[in-house]
Amino acid sequence: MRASNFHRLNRRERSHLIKGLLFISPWLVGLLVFTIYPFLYSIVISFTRYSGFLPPIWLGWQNYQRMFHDALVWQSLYNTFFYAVFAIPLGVIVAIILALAMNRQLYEVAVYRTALYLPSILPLFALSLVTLVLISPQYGLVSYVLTALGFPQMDYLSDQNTAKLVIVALAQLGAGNAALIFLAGLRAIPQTLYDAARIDGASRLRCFWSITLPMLSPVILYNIITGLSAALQVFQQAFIMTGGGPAHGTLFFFYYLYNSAFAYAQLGYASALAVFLFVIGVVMALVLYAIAQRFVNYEQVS
Amino acid sequence: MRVRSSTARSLLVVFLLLFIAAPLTACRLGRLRNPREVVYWTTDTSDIGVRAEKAVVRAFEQANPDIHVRLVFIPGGTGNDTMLLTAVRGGTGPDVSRMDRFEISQMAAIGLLEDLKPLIEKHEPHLPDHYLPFAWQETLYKGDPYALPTNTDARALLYNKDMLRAAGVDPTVLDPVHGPPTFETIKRIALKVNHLNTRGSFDRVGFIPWYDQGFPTTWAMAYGARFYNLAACAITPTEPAMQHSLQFTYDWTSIMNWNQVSAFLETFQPDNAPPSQNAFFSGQMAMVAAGNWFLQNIQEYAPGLHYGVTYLPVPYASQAPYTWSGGFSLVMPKGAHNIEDTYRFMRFAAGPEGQRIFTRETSNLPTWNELLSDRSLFPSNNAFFAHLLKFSRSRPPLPVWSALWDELGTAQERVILHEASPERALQAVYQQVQPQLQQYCPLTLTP
Repeated sequence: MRASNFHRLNRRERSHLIKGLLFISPWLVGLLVFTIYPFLYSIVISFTRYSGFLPPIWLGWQNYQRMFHDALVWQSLYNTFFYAVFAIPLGVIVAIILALAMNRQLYEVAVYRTALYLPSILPLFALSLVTLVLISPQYGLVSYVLTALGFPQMDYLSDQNTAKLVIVALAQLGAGNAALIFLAGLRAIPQTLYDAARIDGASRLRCFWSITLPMLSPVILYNIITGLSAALQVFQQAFIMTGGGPAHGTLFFFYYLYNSAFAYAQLGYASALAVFLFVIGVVMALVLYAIAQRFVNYEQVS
Repeated sequence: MRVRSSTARSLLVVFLLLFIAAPLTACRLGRLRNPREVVYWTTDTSDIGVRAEKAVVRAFEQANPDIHVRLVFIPGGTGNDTMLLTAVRGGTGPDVSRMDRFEISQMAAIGLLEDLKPLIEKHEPHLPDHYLPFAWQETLYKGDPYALPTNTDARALLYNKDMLRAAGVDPTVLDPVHGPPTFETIKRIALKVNHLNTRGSFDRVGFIPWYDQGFPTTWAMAYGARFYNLAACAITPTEPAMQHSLQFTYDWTSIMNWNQVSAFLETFQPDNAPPSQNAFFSGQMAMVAAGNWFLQNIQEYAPGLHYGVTYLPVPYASQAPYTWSGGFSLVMPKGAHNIEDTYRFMRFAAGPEGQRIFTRETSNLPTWNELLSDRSLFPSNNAFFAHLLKFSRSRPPLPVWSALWDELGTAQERVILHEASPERALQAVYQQVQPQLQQYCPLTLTP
């Protein structure tokens, strides 16, 4: 079928097609070699026992069966969903607030935009180390403020729930990227809508609820879906700050996958976990997308 | 049109050349390695470790001027083999690497390591006789050696004499001439030392049983843990000794809970603190279960500390002393090139010359039998640790120790957090790790 289509093109079109493909070949090769091939390969080895050194041994569905009886899979899924439930909505709220702040009509707004965006370009491991200092029970600024407000002096990483919440809070330092997208969304809302609303006597809050939010809804959906994908892969912060502890309290799914593959050399089992995570991610994104259709407004206002 | 297409063509040519050239240069660079070079990876990146490794390499190069050893320090902490596993899988691993001995059987089982039997038989078939038997046992997998042992160690209780006196405790009660102190004695002393500041946090503590070498396995050894059942090919984390061990740490939480201890440690000795920042050195912690290498740290960072060393505490009065030993070894990962030179280096570093230097620099104990009778290697308190070796046990070389060790640590945390009873936490360990052991059954260990 493809070949006959190819032959239907005239000589010039064919040469353009070949050149076009050659020009995008770095991307094509990258996609095939670094994405498609490893993806298919990991599906295949998810059915084997494979350490990376000895020849793989075919296990059939055993890795998948083991997964459903593995308490750490469920514990790490729980941790990941705990994180997602807090981090995704909070991320959207923080990003919208940042975007609103960046959108103020002020002479020096460029300075604020830079300042608000700056933490987002820091690598996550640097943010994690900064957070460790901020929450140090004795010397940390955050701990100092919290104890001054009457909270007990404690190591927030020593409790399973507060440790997860610290990682949720830390993620907000990187909200600048999402805020930029929201800012673009805000700028795309026609001023005439606000003008019309003001003539009708709408308050600023009413304008926000009835104009800004609905007009931003496609951007919000986009951020929730990318946030979901990021939340399912949360790893680095826990790796640096808690090592998955205390008592597996911050052992996220991706962390367990990492341990299985790289610390315990069970590439087959780790691949099965990865396939499982992929399925969860796709299903959740589809569900989210289906639900969100009702709330998302794609209408263009000219 | 003509110009545009010829520009496009030349662009394409340049681009394709780059595309092909890049991997070729990489291959070329890879081949530029000195054929007599031995690449040695170590994860001991502490000041003392770096100095010791460099001294061993220097001595080897002086004795073998034809060979060059490239010493590479791998961050991530001892016992973290993720980089080694990944590099060897990718064909860029070292020729020789330092590895915790209790992981050897596991790493041999997954196929990471070269079997050293042919090399040993070729060069000196009696080599095993020179090593402490338990250390040699730990290098075996299915009867074949996969590593050469370097150092060993032992654990003891260190106590700060000044802190004890300040708390009204006569430090001589802990003198080793009285034999091992009991858990009760340690608890009584700890209660006298513990002190809360005005914000309700500890600023002085007596003892933390889950700190430093206070592993669940350490206290389980005091109760005579077996760890596995060879006939059943099973790990035995739910054995009584293990339960008593976790119960001991659980009971301790009535004195000081997990959050208080974490806040204390985060304050006086955070995770990322340099080795010089230690609650024991700074007079904030009166007693600590520590290994012999700790002596070198004291000498380095707190030379004026008035401290004593005694046996690890025991559950019952007049119980015999106990301790346990681990240690490191040198392994040859798969894909090592230059095998003969690499073996020469391994043999030197794990032999009397290398071990002598390493023992002096790090206050570790040698595994080379003859060196243990050399008194000059064990000044002052080091001699006590050398004396401890005769009571010492080692962990059976199970091929699942990495996972078992991690899960036992988690079980201890869960018990201290009051999240699970010792029995339930240990059952979870069994359920988690036993399936991993199953693939290696039947086991062939020499107990």
